Amino acid sequence: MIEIKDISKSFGKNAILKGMNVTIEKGEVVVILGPSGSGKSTFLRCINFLERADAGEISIGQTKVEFKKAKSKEILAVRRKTAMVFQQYDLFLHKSAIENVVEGLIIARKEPKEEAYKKGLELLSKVGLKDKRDAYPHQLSGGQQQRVGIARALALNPEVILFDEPTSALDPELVGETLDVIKHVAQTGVTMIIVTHEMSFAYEIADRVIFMEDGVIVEQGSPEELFEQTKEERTKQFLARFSR
Amino acid sequence: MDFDFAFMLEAFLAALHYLPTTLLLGFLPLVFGSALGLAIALIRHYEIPILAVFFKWFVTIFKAVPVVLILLVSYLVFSDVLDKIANSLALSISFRDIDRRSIAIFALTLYATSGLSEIFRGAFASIPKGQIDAAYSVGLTTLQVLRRVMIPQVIPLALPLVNNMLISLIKASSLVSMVSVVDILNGAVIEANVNYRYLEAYVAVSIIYWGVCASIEAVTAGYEKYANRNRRRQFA
Ligand SMILES: Nc1ncnc2c1ncn2[C@@H]1O[C@H](COP(=O)(O)OP(=O)(O)O)[C@@H](O)[C@H]1O
Ligand SMILES: [Mg+2]
Repeated sequence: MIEIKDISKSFGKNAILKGMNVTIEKGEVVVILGPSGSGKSTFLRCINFLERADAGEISIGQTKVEFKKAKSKEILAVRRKTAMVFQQYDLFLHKSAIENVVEGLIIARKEPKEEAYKKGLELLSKVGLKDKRDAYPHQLSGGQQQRVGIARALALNPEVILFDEPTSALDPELVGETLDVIKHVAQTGVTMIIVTHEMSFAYEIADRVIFMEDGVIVEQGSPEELFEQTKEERTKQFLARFSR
Repeated sequence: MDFDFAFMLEAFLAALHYLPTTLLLGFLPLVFGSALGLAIALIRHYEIPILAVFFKWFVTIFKAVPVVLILLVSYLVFSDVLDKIANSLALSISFRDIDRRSIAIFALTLYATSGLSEIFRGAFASIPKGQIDAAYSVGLTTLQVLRRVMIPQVIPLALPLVNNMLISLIKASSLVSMVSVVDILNGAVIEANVNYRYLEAYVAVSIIYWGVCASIEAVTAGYEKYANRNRRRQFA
């Protein structure tokens, strides 16, 4: 279980996250919706300590830390229980697909090379890229790069994977294959927080949907509740802009 | 105007005798400058308090000052200060005893350090920030991110510019006669002082400079080809 309490974050004078509380059960898939600039990326980045939140705490497995006070050891502990899939894929450009996947295993987790490569290859097969193991990012399509990104996150066997708009940078014809891989991973019981604008995907994959705006949670519930029995006016307005 | 090929050859051989000095004045500042420049680039990249500002000024100043002046000022400072310090510490070294080449190496290192630190800083800044986030997100420490993700991408980016710096250093080393170091240029000029055939001497030295720089270019080009074949350098 992951529990995030009262997280808040400002950039200078701009309050971006204003005390959000989110609890996620093991194996749950949570989709976060919200207009651009509402703080979705900041929320995910704070969980992973890529940004330092000003207040709040996170407990994840046995690790419990206050965002503001966390020391580098604690930050590392949280990072090693989480993984992230980025909008721009952000693969290591000087490393091949397989090297991207095993980097965290070998260097951060100190796993033996042979095991790491074996696991890496399994994961590349899982995302349908076994034959691209030695390809460099520039030799892969955006969709393929993102699938390597997903394999890289999976390799860490994290308590939760954070997806930040994983298909927003992709050409439309490559979105499908990437979403399919994410669905497939979700079925294996991995806990996920996914920020996306793909509404039908969200409807299909989510156990719970959170709608946030201006750094606060406006409404949350099952996909049926949120999409079909929408309560809040702001949520209705937002959803109306996406004709499903 | 007659051109004395025989004397040119003589000057060439005389100059060649000092080739080790010229190479020393090129390579040592490059090595020292790379190490110091990398350190400064890192200090500025991570915005280490106080030091970052200090080195910003250091670089700004040394970038603007001609090498000749760095050389002359170093010489004067050394000649003035060294004996005083040695005296006050009752050390038995004096300015007369130290190798003038070390002053030249010191001055050229200052020049190389400021230039190379800018080269490395630019290369660090050009690494997409997302990759660094990704590296942290898979659990690497700051040092591991530096060693595994940043440095391997910075080196190939910086290499052509480091190569240019080496060539600049080799050429700048021709100024060291001003602090009475004998390099290939000075060696040839000394030879020509006898018969005033300076043109022949200058042509001879030019050929040596050309040969040295062409060899450096060839080695770098060879390395780049090798690196390309390993596909490590081909960024998207
Ligand atoms: N590093 C930063 N420095 C300053 N402002 C930032 C930074 N990152 C994000 N912001 C601001 O925070 C707000 C929320 O951004 P973000 O979390 O990316 O929103 P979303 O992902 O929902 O579109 C935006 O107004 C953005 O300009
Ligand atoms: Mg975003």
